Amino acid sequence: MTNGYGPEQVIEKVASLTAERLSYFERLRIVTPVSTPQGLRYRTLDVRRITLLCELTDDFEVNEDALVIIMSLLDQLHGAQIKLDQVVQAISAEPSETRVRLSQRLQEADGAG
Amino acid sequence: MMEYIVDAISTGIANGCPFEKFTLSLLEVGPDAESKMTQDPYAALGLTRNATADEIKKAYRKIARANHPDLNPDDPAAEARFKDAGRAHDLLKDPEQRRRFDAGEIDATGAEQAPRGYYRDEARRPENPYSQKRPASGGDPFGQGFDADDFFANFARNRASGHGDNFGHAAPSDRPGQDAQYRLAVPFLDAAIGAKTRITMPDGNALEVSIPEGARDGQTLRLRGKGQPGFGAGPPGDAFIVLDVIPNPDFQREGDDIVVSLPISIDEAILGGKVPVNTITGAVNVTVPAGASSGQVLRLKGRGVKGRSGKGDQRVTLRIVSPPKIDDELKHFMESWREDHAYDPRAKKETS
Repeated sequence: MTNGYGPEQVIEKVASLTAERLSYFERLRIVTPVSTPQGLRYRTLDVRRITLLCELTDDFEVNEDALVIIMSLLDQLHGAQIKLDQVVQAISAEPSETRVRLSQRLQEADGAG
Repeated sequence: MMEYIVDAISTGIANGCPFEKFTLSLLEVGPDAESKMTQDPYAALGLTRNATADEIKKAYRKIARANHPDLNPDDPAAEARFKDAGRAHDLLKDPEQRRRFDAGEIDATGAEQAPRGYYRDEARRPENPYSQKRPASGGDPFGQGFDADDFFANFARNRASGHGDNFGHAAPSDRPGQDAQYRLAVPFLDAAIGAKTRITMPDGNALEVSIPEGARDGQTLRLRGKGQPGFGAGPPGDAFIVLDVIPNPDFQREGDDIVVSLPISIDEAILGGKVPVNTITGAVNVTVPAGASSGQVLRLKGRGVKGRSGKGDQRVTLRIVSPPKIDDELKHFMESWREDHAYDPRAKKETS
């Protein structure tokens, strides 16, 4: 990835974002821009994350502690989802006997739980 | 409500198999979708026309809270409710706009905006830097040195428990500091051959970072003890740095191989010869065989990127470039040559 948005562009893109708010999110370490030779840059991922953070703050009136916890849980959720996708992909590349066996084991595990 | 085409493709092997892959694509249906949006914005918020500004705000927040797409990742209906309520709120929150809508001066689509994207769409990509804070949990779980037991144990336990909170091992007041996350853009060549650089931390201090030779896009480096200071006698946390490799217009990387395209002249293609080509460590001469064609690939052994199993190669794809101007001499030569030596490079291909 080359390009990204500079801080001013992000502030312009996200209506309810101010420079103070952006640096506040960074101090809380819930937004991590990319360090580049041209300074800090934000990707689409970051812009959308910042949009979500603004919404959580404004519409949900989430406070600082809760914001950090929500983002940590969300990151874990997405991380688990990504990993699960990888596992499912790896399994779907296996021969069908293996997949059927795994599928049965999962149903057993489901029944036990 | 908006309309969606829900397209479920099942490639499962048996009924109820948990490994069926569902591709869920949400498509807004052409202009018909527009007409659906002209519904009453008050109804979208569950209100009537005599609702107060405060009631509108409260109703919107209530719907937004319950239906935010990032908090309901797999529920298209929630997304539709969220969008409708958002549109309605956008229209009605401004007293002037609301007056104009009530007076019939603008319709409910007056506030229609370009489709916004949600964080979740980006966050589900494997390269999401926020969800791969520890090197062990990101990237390819089945790479070299992969221990299946370890992987599944880690997966089941989830990261949080291993996140430096060693409760029970040390005195409660002595705890390791928090890990710090950084993202660093690295020029292609620095990643390929290794480099030293620095990151300016939010507190203004600089952090020295050594980019290892052959670093990959999305790779995470761990700098032990470079995170937040510890509590009590606890050690400092670690710094995790996710690399973001900046592409290079001249070089592509495929695994540990470097792929480049090399323009050659007609005479070089026909007669062969030595032609200079850039590698990641500088220019070298490559021998173009006589009678070379566009698309032919030459391999420079060991000129690629250092990987787990030694160095990769550089693959050079030849591309014949005609002279900028076809002079009479060349034209006449080709015309006379063609009379006796015509050949058909498409002989084996079917043409229509």
